[in-house]
Amino acid sequence: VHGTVGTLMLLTLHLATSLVSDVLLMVAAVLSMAYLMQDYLLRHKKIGNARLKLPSIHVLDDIGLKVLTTAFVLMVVGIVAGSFLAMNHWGPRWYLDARQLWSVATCLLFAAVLIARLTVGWRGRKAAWVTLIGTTLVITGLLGLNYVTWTKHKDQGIVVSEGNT
Amino acid sequence: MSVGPAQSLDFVCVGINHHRAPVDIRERVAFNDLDHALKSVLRYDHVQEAAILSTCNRVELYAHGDVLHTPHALESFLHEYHRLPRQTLTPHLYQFQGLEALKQLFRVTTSVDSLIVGEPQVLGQVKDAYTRAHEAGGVGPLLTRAFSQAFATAKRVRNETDIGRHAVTVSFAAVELAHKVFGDLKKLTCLLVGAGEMSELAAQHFAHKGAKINVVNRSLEQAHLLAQKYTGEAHSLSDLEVLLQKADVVLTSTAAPHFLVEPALMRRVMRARRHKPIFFVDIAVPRNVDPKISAIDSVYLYNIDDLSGVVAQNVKERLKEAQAAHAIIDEEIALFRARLNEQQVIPLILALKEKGALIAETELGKTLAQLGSGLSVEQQHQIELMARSIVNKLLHEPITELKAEAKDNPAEHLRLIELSKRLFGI
Repeated sequence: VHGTVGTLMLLTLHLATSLVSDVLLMVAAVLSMAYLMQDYLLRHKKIGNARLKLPSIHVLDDIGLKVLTTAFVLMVVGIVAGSFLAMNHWGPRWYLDARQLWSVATCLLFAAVLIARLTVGWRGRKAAWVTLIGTTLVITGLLGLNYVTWTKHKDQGIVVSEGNT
Repeated sequence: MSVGPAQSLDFVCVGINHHRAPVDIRERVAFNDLDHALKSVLRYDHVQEAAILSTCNRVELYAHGDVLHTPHALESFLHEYHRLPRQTLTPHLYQFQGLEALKQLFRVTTSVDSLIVGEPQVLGQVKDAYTRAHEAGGVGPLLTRAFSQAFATAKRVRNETDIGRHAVTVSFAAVELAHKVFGDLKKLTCLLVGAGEMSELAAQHFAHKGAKINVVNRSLEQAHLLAQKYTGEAHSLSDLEVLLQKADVVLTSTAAPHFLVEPALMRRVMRARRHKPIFFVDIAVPRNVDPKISAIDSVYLYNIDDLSGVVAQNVKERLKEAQAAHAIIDEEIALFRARLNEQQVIPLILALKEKGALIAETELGKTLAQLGSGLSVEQQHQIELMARSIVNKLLHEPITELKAEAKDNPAEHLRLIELSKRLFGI
């Protein structure tokens, strides 16, 4: 990427928010798994012999929602910042990038989850499963799309120069 | 300095408990006036120190006294104090001597010998027994050491094992499960539907944790009466749906012959409460809550058999943990024994050092007197140093060996003490 200091800042923002968002999504996935496990144990009355001391259903759900919301906000910021970068540097067909499209799709999925949770109080097992599926998609995208040819998200050298290019 | 014969532990326990004696025997030996009893037992021969533990499951006497005569004295005391014919208790009584008596004290204090293994009350009862004995003047150095190590052992068992962690009553099991759903119980709303004995007991536990208790009953009057107890709201059964929307924990125990809570009702309720988790404890027989509702997301339902199952699992778990507790008890007994042995060897070591010092001083006196004033102060000082260091070097090996043997080879160390006394003429 060749660009000005402004571009560099945009790039930094894009990378930082995306990275933190991905980490938080992994935390959300772990919390969802813990939720599903605790729910399973309670439902199947296998409480007594559980050596594992999991947090309560309420806590797992509550923290899970907060983590997911934060991750989502950062993800949106990352995507917007990335879009500006792409628009400036990748020419007229900037949006035709595998990773970019993938991110937007998963982002929409999380948007749907969060809207359902915040409006009608959708939660519980289904919410946990969808969160788990969503995060799995994101992580697959992160790892898998490097092997796809139609992405410009690789071999990106960064060259910063002052003034016009 | 004279050193008495080395002795083993003069500690004795005589008692009766729920394992060996039915309640109609136990109630006859229970003590009402502990102070009076302590003062009486301390008047017996061969009883130098004594403590009495008297609970509904056991009566045990712990005493400092020689292992040959004290058990008999304690047995006589039990019969005479309670005015029982001779030998009435004998088939039910057990006796422990020396380290075995100490082990019994540790077992009782750590609750591995309790009717409900791991129950926390017995530690308080033993502490109480010790305090009362102390007040009555029955406690000397041996009982102090024995009891304080028993308390330390109980603390270790509580910290290092899960012996008392899981609920072993149905009502406590309900509270424990609610913790797994909600975490903090302080801000919960608990709904008591009908009032059976067990659900009321559970409601009390929840109230104790700070939860708000609302009451629903077929008769509003009855509901009001109950609600007053917990300063909650009282409602009639027709308000059930609205109340379910607000409740977190629902305890049902009505005599209704049909289900009060069914899937259709519960789906409406869950929508209204925005799918917030709800926990049902159905203690009624026949059941008040349709088991099908547990298929609904965020609805958790436990009936009386489920709770009993949890309790049975927990009891098993406690018995497993009791094995770990036994290992800790054995460790602590070994520690006590090592300290005891060390203490037995200390008088001998002191005597050895004293004898050595005496010999050195005597010989120095003689030598310095003979050499007279021909020596400088510095030379006199050097001679004194030499005399003392010969004695110390000579004694160093035996003393180290005695200490090590006391710690590592308790079985042999009494013999070694006797032998050392003969060798060194003490």
